[in-house]
Amino acid sequence: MAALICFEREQKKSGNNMPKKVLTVDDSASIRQMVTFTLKSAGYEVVEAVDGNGGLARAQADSFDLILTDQNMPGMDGLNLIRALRKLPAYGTTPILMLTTESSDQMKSLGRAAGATGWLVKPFDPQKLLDVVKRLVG
Amino acid sequence: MSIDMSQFHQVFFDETDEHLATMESVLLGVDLAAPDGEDLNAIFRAAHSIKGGAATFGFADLAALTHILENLLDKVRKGSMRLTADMVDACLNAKDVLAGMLGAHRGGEAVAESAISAVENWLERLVAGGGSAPPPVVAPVQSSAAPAVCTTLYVELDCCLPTTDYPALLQSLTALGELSVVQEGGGSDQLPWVVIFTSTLAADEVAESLAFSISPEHFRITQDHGQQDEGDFGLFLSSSIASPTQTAAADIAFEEDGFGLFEPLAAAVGGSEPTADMLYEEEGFGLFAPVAGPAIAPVMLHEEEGFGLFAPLEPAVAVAAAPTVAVVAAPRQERAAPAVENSIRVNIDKVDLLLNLVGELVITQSMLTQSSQELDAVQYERLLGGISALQRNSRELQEAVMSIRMTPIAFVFNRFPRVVRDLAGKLGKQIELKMVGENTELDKGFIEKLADPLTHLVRNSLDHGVESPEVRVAKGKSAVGRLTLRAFHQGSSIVIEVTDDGAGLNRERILAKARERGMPVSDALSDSEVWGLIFEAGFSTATEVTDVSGRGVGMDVVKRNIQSMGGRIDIDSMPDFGTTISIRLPLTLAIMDGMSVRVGQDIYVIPLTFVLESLQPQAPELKTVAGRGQLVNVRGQYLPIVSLAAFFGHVDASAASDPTSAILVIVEAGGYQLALLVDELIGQQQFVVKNLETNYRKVEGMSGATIMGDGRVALILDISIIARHNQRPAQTAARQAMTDEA
Repeated sequence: MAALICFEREQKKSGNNMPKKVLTVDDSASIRQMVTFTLKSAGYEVVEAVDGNGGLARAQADSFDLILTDQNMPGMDGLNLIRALRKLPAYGTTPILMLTTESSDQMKSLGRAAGATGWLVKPFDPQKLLDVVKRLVG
Repeated sequence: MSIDMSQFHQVFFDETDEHLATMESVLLGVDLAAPDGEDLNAIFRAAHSIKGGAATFGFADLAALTHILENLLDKVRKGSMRLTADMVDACLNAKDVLAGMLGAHRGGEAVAESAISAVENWLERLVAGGGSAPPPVVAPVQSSAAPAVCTTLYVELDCCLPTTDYPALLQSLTALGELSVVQEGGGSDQLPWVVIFTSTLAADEVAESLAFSISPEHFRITQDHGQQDEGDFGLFLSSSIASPTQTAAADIAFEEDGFGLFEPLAAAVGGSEPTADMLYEEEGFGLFAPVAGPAIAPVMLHEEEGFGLFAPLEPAVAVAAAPTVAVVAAPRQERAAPAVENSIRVNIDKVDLLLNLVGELVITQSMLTQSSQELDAVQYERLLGGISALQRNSRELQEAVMSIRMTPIAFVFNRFPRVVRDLAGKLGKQIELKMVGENTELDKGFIEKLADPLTHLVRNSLDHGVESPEVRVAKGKSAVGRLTLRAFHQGSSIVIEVTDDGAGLNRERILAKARERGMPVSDALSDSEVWGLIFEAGFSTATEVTDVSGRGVGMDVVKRNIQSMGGRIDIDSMPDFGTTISIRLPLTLAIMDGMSVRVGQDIYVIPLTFVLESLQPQAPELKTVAGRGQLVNVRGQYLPIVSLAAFFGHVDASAASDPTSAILVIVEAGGYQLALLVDELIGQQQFVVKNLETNYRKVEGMSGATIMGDGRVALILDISIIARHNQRPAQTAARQAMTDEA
């Protein structure tokens, strides 16, 4: 019994009226699916990557308004991805949100130092994610 | 907008299966003496991922157990504990319990609470046993969301109280929980001490114990936002980087329920004083977070809507007042296509629907082909060309769709390293397991159904087949028994073999057992007939009943399971050389090779896997045994004749009256042969199998139905049922005929 989803496209007119593009990087297929579904339902365009290296490749091949990344991933982890992204001129100012199961201060500090815009602790509620994304990119 | 989380459950279940499998295979292969760091990381990550997903999708029980497991694995991964055999056992046990819980969430049987708490306690004991810190006690999860965690408190102590020995005071706290100093107090700024303290104690209990050393007005304790419902989100304010000491502190611009945003860091302009900004402010207490390691500090360009614009900055470069953008060339990588682009998960129902539609298409196409055969080949050349192209295309389409359902048998085989390891340990035997052809693909529907029968066969081989090391050495064999699982394609079947190099089946003991149970057997039975006896219900030759096998249930169930999949099972055995049990299955349940026969006005289909040969009997070969029906002598062997007309109550069948004018189809099911009497052989072809039960109702002796080219429905015979119906009386009759001849 799927819940009824209202497809509200609350996109702020950002000049070109294009939907905002979000890259979600997570090694967990179910979390990716949830993030993608949640954001697509709200009118965002979503691209997925399964790990840090894939995320970096996608980011370089395309342009995004917002990047969500998990911290704990095989290969390149979230912090290293954020560091790598911040070295790219195209992503110097792009909001990057770190999704992490660790809410420890140390993790927050590491994230901040790596260049994250903010953090969101797993588990999170889809509505919560949407509020945060709206807050960041409208 | 409300989102139904249950729609994501299936993907979560699937990926958890994968994580559990990874965990198990790595654990089984790990070298205790020198565990590989990447292995330990892989196990940890598997537990970590399950925990994250479980908490997100509301499976609190999974989250709670994986949380403890993750604690243990984290300690091992970071080198603060050594991996022991006991830990591997505990982790494997946890994996089993998790798999059980997962099954319960999928609608299966619930896992006993005792099993869950037992493994949780075991893991917690291990966590406590090796670390310097006391184990975090995990409270039972009440809500359906987050895993339980220890309480984390911020403790702030006013500094510079003359009578207070801070290091000793902090030392006393470490006896109660885990402590990390965020900020050392004192210095010229008279900074307070700030520590993060994690323990199972509540804030007031910590306050009580502190009050012995320092008066209550000089310390403040606040709750961390470690719980799921608060403090998981924040935004950072700008803060300064102190380049000489490489430390910085963050400000939170904004923090609320489970989310945070960082404000951009501003570089310290020429200052070498470590400056710190507020991270968090509440009840007049500030907190500073150290930044570990050298960090590239982003420079703030401008700020809007709670986030900042950064420009990358090289560390240790003096920053000019005007921000400069240092462009660091990132290594351009070959754009590796992530796996997510190359595969999609599709619900199996959709694939089945597709397969069904293709089946309908094949039926329509064969109808067209049949109708077109009457047309004039010259006049209708184009139409006929089109029809033969359609036939080719639909065959290719059918194969392509079928291949979607194909799954490597590795999904079944992968469980056996574990099964064999556990069982060999229990039985005190040494076993080397070899798996061949794990990539052989078969229909997904078989994968689940194969697991139990194969497990039973493997257990049997280990328990009854492979001898104990002493016995093996006495026989001149190597002490280590060998068990081989092999899968390969043969024609349109897949064959799975379980081979052991053990004692082999004991012909005499099986015959003795059969007589003891009053089964009609004679010493004249061929080996394969004798081996076939072990598939009889309740048959067991185990001299002692172990908890592994020998209860006499099983082999008959195994055979029934395999037959219900349209397959057959055969045994080949030699004393002291071992036993091979081979299972032969059709590649798919949806399409089958069959022989169509006519009985009266009706068409029946006999699955080709059961058919040995067909013949037209001569009068001398027929024999009637009083009250036992007719028998036919096929090359010296008497086989019972089963008239399908009689079996299904046809009155219009000519065959029933005179077998010599009819055809006998010799079939074999489970090592037992019989001759089916039919009016006519029509042909041999592939049939699209339709489920009779869902479309009509269950019919005894029928395994399904198919639609013929001319649109008629033909029923597919369930040979194993027909054989079972006739087996007892017919065997007696066959022996009767033998003795008559003698």
